[in-house]
Amino acid sequence: MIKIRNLSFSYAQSDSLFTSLDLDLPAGSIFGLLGKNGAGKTTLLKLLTGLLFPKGGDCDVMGYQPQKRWPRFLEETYMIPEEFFIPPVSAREYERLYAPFYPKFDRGLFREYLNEFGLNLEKRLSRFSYGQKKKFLLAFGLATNCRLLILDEPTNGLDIPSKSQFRKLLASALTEERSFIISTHQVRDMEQLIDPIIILDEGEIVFFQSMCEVSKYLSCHILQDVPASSEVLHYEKILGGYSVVVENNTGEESNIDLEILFNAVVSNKERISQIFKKGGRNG
Amino acid sequence: MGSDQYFNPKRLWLLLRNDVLSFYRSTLISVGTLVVVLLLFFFVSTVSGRQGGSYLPIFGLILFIGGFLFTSSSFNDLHHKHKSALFLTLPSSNLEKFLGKLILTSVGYAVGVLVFFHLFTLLVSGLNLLFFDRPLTPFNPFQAHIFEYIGAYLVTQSIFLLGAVTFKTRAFIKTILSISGFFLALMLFSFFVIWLFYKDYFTGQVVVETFQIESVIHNKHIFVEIVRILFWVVLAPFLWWISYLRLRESEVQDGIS
Repeated sequence: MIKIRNLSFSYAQSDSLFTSLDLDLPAGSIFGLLGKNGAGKTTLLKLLTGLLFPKGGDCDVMGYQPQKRWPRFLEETYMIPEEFFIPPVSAREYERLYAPFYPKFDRGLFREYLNEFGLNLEKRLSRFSYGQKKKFLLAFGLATNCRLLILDEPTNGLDIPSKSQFRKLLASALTEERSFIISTHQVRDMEQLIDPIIILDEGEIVFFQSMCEVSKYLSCHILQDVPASSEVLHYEKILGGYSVVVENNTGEESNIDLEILFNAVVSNKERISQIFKKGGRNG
Repeated sequence: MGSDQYFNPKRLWLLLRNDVLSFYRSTLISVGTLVVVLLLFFFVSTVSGRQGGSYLPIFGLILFIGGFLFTSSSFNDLHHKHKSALFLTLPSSNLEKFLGKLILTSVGYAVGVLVFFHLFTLLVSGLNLLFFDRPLTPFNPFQAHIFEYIGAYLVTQSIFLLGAVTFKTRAFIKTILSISGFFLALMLFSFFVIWLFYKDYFTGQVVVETFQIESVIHNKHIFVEIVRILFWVVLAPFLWWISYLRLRESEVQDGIS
């Protein structure tokens, strides 16, 4: 679905953000894009939607070059940015204005999603809270039936029940032809949803593994004392001890917290990459 | 790539409809304000006994100044930090997005002003008859002058359309400044060329009588004809093309969040 080769990008006023980025994303998954502030997550998402243009290399999304912004490409892509604009019209009016641009838009599904989120079709969007606006856009984006849905920090501003509804809707809307890319810092909101995990650091993909591979090659334990072993890849102080990430040599699968995984990868890129290479998958 | 990907009349119609529906409130407010101001103007003119002159200056003012301001704001969404994503990712081609704005700000605006001004003068005429017992001829949109005005508007408007795509903020003022800068540079260049070719006449080395005035007049006619063709035929399509290219190359302002 997405093929990026040797992509380079820089903002005019700063150094290169991406110098030679390669990435292949097949259809049928909810990709979790993680990274520190300024790692290039939002920039990458904007390059994928044609909002920014690469300085070099190839970016192919569903057979289209995003920067051309062909209508057929845009019909199949929907992005919800972290900061967005919603015109001051009612939800029904918004549907009337924008839905005709998406040939596969499903009005019935849209109303179902709005009901699920408890949003009123007649209410003016400007009177919605930030979280409600986000839920509205998510309902609209899913109802477009586009093949690529891109969400930048989707759970920011959502209340606790909405986060669970969000996960449920997204999981139920995924098909073999569709892909969702979620860029987030709120990794705990996304556990059990995003898979594979992509970690972007200093303009490079430093980690790209499915959760199955992660639990096959890494394991997480709780220890009472500070771990001293050189086998420890990363540890964090938690309530009542230490959460420790090590290479999985026993073959026993453990549940790895995404936040700890992220910190382990960022603090120990080389070793973790070697572990996955040794296991047959490039990290 | 099918031609449908470059241009689809249905998508253009949807864009035009969205623009009209999205901005009808602000348009109504602007029209309402204009009606009040013009009514006051006509009332003062009638009371002071100065009414009866041509409508053309007021019509020209609304057409040109109003049209340039309207055109300058036509690509505000493109330059807005949050609105630009919605504008650029809406499934329609760059050509359709450009044509939508062009139609609305050129022909659409001109026709709107014609209809508005005709209806307004009908209203003023009625009010005049009612309160002052003086009949007033309503504005006739089918005059040769009016079509010349509209023709000139359609050409000059293209400059402001390019300004609207190019400048991120205060497009109207920056376009005016750019036009001023362009003419200043043109004037300096002309002075330089004249000085280069005719400097001997200025320094007194060549006697003025030998200056071939007929040749200058003949060249002037050719020059005026070239400028006329450039203005009426070349300028607007050229600037539309540049504006379209600028829109095609537009990116969002900030990728970092």
